[in-house]
Amino acid sequence: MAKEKQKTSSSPVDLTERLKLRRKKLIFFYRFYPLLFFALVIGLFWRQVIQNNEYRLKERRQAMRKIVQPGPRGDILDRNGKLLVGNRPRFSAIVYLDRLRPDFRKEYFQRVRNIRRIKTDLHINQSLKDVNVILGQPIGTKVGKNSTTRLYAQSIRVKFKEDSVISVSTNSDQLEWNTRWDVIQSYLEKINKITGRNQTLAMKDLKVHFNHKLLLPLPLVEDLTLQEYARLIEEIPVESPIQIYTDTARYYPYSSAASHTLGYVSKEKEKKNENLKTFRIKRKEGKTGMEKQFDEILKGKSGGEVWLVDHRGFQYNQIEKEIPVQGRQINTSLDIDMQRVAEDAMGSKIGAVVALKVKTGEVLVLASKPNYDLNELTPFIPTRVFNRINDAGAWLNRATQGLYPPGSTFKMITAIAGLNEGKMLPETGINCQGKLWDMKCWNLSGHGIVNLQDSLSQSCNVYYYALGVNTKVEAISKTAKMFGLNDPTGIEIPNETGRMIVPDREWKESKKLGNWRQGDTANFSIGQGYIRVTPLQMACFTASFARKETLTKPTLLYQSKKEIQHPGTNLNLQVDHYQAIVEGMSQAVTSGTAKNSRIPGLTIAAKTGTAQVPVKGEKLTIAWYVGYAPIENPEIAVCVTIEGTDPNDRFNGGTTAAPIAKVVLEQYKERYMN
Amino acid sequence: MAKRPLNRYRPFLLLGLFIFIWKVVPKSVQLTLHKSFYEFQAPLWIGSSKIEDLHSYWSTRTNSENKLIEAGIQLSRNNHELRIQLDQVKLQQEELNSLRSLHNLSPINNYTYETARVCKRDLTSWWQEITIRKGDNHGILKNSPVIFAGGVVGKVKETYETTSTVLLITSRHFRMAARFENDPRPVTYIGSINSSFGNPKGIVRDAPSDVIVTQEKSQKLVSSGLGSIFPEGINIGTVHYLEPGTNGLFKAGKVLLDKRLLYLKEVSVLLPKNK
Repeated sequence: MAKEKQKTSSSPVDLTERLKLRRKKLIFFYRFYPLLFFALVIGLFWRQVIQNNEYRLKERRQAMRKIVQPGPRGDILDRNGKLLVGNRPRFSAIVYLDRLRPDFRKEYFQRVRNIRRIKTDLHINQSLKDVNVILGQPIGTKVGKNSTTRLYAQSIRVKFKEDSVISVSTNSDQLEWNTRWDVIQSYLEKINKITGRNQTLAMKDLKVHFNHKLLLPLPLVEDLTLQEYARLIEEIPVESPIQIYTDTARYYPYSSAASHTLGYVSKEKEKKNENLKTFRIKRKEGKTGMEKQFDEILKGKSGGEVWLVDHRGFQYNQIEKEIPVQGRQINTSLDIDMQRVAEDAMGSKIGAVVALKVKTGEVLVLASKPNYDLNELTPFIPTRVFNRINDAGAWLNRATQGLYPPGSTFKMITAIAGLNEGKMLPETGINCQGKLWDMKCWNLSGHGIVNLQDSLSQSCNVYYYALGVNTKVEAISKTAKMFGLNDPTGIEIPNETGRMIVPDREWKESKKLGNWRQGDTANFSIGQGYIRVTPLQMACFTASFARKETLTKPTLLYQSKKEIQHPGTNLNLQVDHYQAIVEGMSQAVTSGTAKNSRIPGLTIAAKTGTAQVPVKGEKLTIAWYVGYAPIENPEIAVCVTIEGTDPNDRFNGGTTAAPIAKVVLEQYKERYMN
Repeated sequence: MAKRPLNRYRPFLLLGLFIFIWKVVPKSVQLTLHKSFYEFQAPLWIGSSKIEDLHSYWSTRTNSENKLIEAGIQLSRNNHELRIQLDQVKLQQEELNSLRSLHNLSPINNYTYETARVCKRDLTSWWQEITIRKGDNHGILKNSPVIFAGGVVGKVKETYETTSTVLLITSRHFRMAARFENDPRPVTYIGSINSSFGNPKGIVRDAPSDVIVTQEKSQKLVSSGLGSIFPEGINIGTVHYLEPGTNGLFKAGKVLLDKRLLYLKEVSVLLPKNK
């Protein structure tokens, strides 16, 4: 008290000094506070104005969800406007979990009440047997395991110690999941009753959908038949949470026709990096063939919806909506009727058929067998179907991926090389006695004296052994490369093989196969040995030869122009030399090895061939046919390649491949030349 | 003075009390009450409908004898014409049945029909229902298809002793599987909001994108027969335009229905033979 008295009784001077001192102390704060306030304003400005977009985005991410609906894919048509690939409606019975929330809630609370009732009967120190009786389980069943009353037993946690209950609690998470499952399953039962199916929903699927695709419809029954769809439409009330969801699946009206060329689709892979949390109805993307090649054109434009969601992720207000747009259609160069005729003519044979428009390079037929029914691959490929196709070796597109020695169809190239090198004249005769050195002709008794025309029409090997050795491998190889046999054709199909071989000395050495020998050249001259080409390449070669050019750019797109500019150059061959080769090919059809392809009223120049290739220790025979028609104004070039012909067949190319080519040429004549 | 506010809220309290009681009474009681409500009212509707018929009968009787004779002659002509048509239909039906039996197909005519007079119409934005003068006693079954000369009328929603309510094709709660007349692919027909006196209409959905419909080239919508209720080929209405649906995959459009649906007097209930 004395001290206080002393303080209050101090002089005014002291007081002023003290005030000054205090002011001095406060002066720091007088300056510091505005600074702090300024920093606060700056901070506010920074957050509100500068970082506005960032926070707006965060808010959108937190409260909004985007549903992406892919646009339907475009159609693929043949050159005559026939639908090759379209979309068919695919109906599914679905529920939106959002609409089931009242049911979930009602059922959940009902169960909580029931569990409470059951829990009153469960006490500490009860035995497992007592618990089993209360829960209606078989005696000895552990709680929550193999329970017959899964409904409640899984939702109750009972801990035991030495077979006595020590604690009882509610497993509310399990209860929630069970409730959801049971509610949805009850709706599924209604569908089962109407459709006669017997489907159940897997808890795993429900959990995945609930946690990752909440805003998307939960499919209960997919790919409904038309009858099932109609029954559900009529018997399920409009206001039911069960809805009929319609999307599209790829539809192939011609099933397996041109299956390798058209290709198939599958669901696209997951995409990330979206601004909003996005629920994406997966679009279909091309996996093979034209579906893959032209995916960008066919895929269409996705639409979608943006929804505001509550704290649990359920939607409650739609903010944006954009309608998806169908992809554009593609007009192919294929003629589906010719394609089917070619495939029917092949029957169960393994191989390929290619038919091109000589002038434009448009592909009319691109068949590969064995093939597969494209409708079986949509909307997904069942393992059973995959294995079946795999076992049959049908995934391989033999027209663009199959590599075969061209056999005698290569003899035209040897002849062109020989003529260009000046190693012989068309009328020069060579005596075929059935073999040259130790290399045999297919006609062991010999052809006698043969000139160029005879050698082509009779497919004399001895003539080409001699010519090839005389011409040398370099010239033959150069000529083959000039016709593009060393490069892929660049057709608009993915995965065209690039592993074709046009051998020469360097190639053989680079592959460490030893030095090039005279026998290699002789073999090469008749299209045997190391050379490997695809049927499409041989069809392109035939078209190029028919146009007196070196290269043909094949295309699967319908060309409105009558002629297009192909890469390559004019064939540098004297007219009479060219004519001699054509004459030989023509004779092959009229009286030679290709006579099985003769068609009255149509002039055809063709060459057959038979090659052998070792496969798994056995010799696989390859039958070939290349040809074009009409000779005077070539329009169509055909190549047929058939694997594994009858070993007793003398003219494999002529008897196996030529009849197929004949059917294709006949069909062309009927459709385009009359 | 103190009671005044309570009096003011009495109607709401009573309503709340009524709703509460309705919620807590067992489902079976609710159903019984609901059914009784209709059963007690039914005689009134039937009575008024019969009076209307009587009125029509007497108004016809007031016509002059000559007029009645003329009408009688016209009726006999119509009957004669119809008899000829009926004979033709019978012949065709027999031929069809024999052809179907040759191909081991089930007979096409799986329905009998029960004709019923309409005694009550509820045609508002909320309700699109009619009540007919036949019910359980006449073998009418729930969900049976109901048709008239112009095509589909609807389906039986509820049956009572002597009456049944029919959910009209115009109702928002009505849905059926349909198809365009010359196209086998099924589409969905749904009723839409119809005002009391407006032209009846509905909505068609899931129409394939290659179906072309214009004002000049309209298409008829008929029942698909794929569902479990309606037989195939019964007229639903006409579609004058289609536009891309909301999902961009299929088309949707408006279906114009028969105007006579607003003035129905008599309908036929199709009853499956096997039931």
